[in-house]
Amino acid sequence: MGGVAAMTPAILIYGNCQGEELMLTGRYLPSFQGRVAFKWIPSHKVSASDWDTLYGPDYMRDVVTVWEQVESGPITAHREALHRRLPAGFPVVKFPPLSALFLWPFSGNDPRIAADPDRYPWPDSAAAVLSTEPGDDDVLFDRYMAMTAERMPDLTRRSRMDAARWRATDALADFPMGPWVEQNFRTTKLFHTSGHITAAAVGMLFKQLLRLTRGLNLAALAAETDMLLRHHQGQDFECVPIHPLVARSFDLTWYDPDARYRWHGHEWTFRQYILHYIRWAPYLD
Amino acid sequence: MPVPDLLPLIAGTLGIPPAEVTESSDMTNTRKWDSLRQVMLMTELETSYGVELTDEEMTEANSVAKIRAVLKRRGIG
Repeated sequence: MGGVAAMTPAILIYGNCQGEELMLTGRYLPSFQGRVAFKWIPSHKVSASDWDTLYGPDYMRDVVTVWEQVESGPITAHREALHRRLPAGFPVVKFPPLSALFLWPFSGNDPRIAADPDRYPWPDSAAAVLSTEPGDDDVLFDRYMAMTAERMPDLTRRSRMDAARWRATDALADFPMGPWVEQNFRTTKLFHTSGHITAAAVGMLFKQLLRLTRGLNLAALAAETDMLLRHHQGQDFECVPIHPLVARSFDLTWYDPDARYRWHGHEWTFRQYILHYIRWAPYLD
Repeated sequence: MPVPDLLPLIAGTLGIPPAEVTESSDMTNTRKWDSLRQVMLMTELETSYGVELTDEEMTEANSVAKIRAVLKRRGIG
């Protein structure tokens, strides 16, 4: 068996599911083949025992750099466990999470998600209210549109709230992403859901991380990244449609009212998605 | 519109069973209560209770006790 000298140096990514996208991007980059490996610790799923089993001391042996996704709020026990494994001065590049609640202003209370968290994991509190209402598709959808028009919050305020959240996490990171999101969300689709990002956002994030990682040829890698992600859709297995009033309010130039949004093995319009969601309809059979 | 119970509303917004939210729940000891869900929770409170929270309240009301205190100042609960 090879010793330390034979190991492929690895970049360890600590973050939510956006970290998985970054890991896969790195793994498929031609220049990294056989030279740099990528590993991911899912910060949103890791358990206390994982630090003794899956991510024990040997797990760090080949790691030469950590890409750590920051978060505002109290430092979690898991983040502390990660930090305990890093010697003083270990190369760490901190990056912010990307999220956008303002594009889905009815993200909120839906008690059905606790009992069935995987069916429709992106909550719509207005649709949840209608879940016990009788009526055919036309009646329910009309009621949804009327209710959401009546309850539509101040979207400018909502976008300011997100921007404040981005500033808070940017301040903890080694580079900001909030200004880039603010400059581009109108002309480029950056989010499939409030927490899942498109290839455009994956690419921007990945290139910023490369830029701040010592010993890499950024110019070549940036070009490879663009090529790799050219036809990639990002985290598109669940795409939550944009409400037409939200699109109009923000003047989203990429918005198409007739767009079909991927939902696992389906492609649904906004209307179809909302009706499925209200009815909590199964879709896997 | 009837005033909803706070604990089920918090659980429903966090996407966790109601039994996981108690009077001592906060951002550090409650599953899925992260900074994103904090904003979601605050906007849900605004909608459900018909109040508008300040930026400071949105950040600071990160426990059941603190949320109750904010609502009490608005004459709710």
